[in-house]
Amino acid sequence: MDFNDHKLIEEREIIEKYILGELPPEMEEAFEEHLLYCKECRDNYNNMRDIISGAQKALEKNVFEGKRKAERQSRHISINLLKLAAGFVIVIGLAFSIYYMVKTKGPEPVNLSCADTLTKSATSFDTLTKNTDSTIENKESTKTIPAQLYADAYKPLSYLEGAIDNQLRSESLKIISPKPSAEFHEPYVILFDWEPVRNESLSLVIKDNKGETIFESEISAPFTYMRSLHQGLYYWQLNTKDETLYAGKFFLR
Amino acid sequence: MINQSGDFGAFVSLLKQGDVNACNALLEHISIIMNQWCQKNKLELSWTTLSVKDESEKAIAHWVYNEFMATLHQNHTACNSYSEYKKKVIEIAGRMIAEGFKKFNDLLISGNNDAWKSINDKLKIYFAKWFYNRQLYLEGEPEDLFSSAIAVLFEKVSSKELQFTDSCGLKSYFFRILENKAMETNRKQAAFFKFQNELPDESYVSSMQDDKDELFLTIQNRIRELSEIEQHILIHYFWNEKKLNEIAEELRISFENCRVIKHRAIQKIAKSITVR
Repeated sequence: MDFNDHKLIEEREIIEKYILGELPPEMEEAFEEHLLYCKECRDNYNNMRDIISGAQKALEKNVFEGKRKAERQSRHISINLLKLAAGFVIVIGLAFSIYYMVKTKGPEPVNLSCADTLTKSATSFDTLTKNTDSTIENKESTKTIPAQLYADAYKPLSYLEGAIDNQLRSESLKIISPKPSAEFHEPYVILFDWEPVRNESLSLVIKDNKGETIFESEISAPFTYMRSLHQGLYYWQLNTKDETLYAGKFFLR
Repeated sequence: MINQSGDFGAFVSLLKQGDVNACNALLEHISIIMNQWCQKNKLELSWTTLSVKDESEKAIAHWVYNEFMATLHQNHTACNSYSEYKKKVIEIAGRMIAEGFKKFNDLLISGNNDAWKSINDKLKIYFAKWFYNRQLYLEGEPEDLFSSAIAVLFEKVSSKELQFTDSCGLKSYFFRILENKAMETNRKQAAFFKFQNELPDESYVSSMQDDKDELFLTIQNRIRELSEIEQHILIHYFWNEKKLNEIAEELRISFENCRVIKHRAIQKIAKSITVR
């Protein structure tokens, strides 16, 4: 095949097949050699590779996003169903109240006045609406919990913030990592490193923003920490037996 | 001037004379050969320590180029034919990639953030493919499975329980972890979870600004603008590695029709890249 005919290369999708490894070995070798001499084909090769990588990257996001989207849709559907059910209960309640009102006006003598009846039925209606409303409210509140939790996870804890501000004896240590208020992204790999290296091992304490200790151990620098943690604000301290040498914080995003 | 009809001897002469176009062509070509070779051998060019993050590929290409040129100047008979040249390039690149991965592995052991980010980014693409091909139904998010497998990999690597000699070994091990994790949690293989055959919405794509990769964003946006049938063909052809005739059969269109649609879709994307 004459590789100088670029129209033919395009028609036969030679570049694409070359990238995907679909050319017969002899043609592959010949085309590869042609790439050495032909700038246009090299440029087309690079474009095609970008397209393939771009498509792969987009689709990777799609797999992760696809499921979330499906879940969002099903949540949306269930909330709509709930609203529909609530509406149905209200209509039934109204119908029942009207029926009750009409019935009490019947031939039998009624002890209750019409106003009383109305109040009673209104009360039952209120209860019904209240019930249905609270059901919706409950559902809505469960919907907002994750966002609330998310915000909570980054809420600063005053006494630990104070410990950072005081800096204690931090001048005796130069902290190399993590940097003050460092942010980490998944996978969370946190390197704790400082200078100068001390003979004694120090105790590393990591606390979450509720003040609960999630890690405590004797370590020496450098130390890499990785556990499956939730996103949020974390505080850490380097302690000797008697005192805190350094206090800092980091964020997991 | 490079002769496009393909005289390798003449090309080498240009290189020896220090012709700028020939030198640039050589550098670009080395990069192509390396990419194709790595693809065939399932190696990751970006997992080396030559340069942090995405620059590894360029860095290795420069390194191979320099060593090749040095050989060329020292030994005039080093490269008489194209196949000899290719053999030499692969030999140098192979050595370089192996050495680079060894150092990269040391970074992983020491818990280096950039190295682990690179592992995370690359494996996520392979994971998405694996996940889709198994049509897994998961109680939680696919990320949970991915993160837990990454965590196991981290434990094994940082505790030096496992040493990998190349990126292919690391990837194989990761997929063994994934398979075990999937079985462990009694996640059934079923065609329950359907892949959403559509692209991420606007807001999600914009959140990818973190990637700082304008080119990919342009391509992704362009793909999103394609018709449904064009997207379907590209997805299954490039990503799911289906044959064009299989896709045509699925869509109940002729093979030729399918080929033309795919070709046009690629042209549309290519145009947007060149216009940029």
